[in-house]
Amino acid sequence: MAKTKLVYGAAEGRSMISQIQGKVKFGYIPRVLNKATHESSYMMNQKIFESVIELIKDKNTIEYDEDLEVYTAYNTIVPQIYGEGATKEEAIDQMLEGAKEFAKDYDENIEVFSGVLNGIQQLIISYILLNLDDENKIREILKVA
Amino acid sequence: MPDSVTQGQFKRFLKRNQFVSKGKKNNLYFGMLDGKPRAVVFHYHTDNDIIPTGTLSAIARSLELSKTELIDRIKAR
Repeated sequence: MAKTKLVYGAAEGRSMISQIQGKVKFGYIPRVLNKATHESSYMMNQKIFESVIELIKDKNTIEYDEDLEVYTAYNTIVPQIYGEGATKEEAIDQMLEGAKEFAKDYDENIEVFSGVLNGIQQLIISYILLNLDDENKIREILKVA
Repeated sequence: MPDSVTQGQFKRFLKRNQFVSKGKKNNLYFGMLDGKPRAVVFHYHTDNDIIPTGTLSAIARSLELSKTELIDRIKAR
């Protein structure tokens, strides 16, 4: 049986995008390789992508400062995402606002961030950026739904 | 509160380590710490405001330090 073609050159990737998407739909993860830069891009379907996101566990912590009477909620994987409040709920709401703000800053400074954040951090922020107008989805991504 | 850190102390720590502010509200700081690039989000209001302990934990984690290490470095001067 012939092996399914899963690796494409950059130009090939552009011209065969429909076929590639057809493979992605069923669960293949094709790779588009830029031979000049040796960089690869992968495509995956929503089911696989959301399963990968789902695998990321224990993402949030809430700490209470007894002296200041302030809660801080922060994401343990992307700790730049945090919020403060007089109640846990207020801190979580502020954390969600912080997530949106951070995602916008990520978008504006992507070249710097690509050298600072690790792959899981970039995955979470990119997914938030994709859903910037959907508060419920962001809550779901950060597991505070 | 011996372990407390003020916003002013942390701001000076960032300046000492040559972090630069970016982002829409200038709350995002980029810099190098221990030879590695770091990004930290910090909301400065006034010098004397104490940073809540949980916020300090989040900031320390952004810098890949423990909270104790961060406090020691901030107060190293």
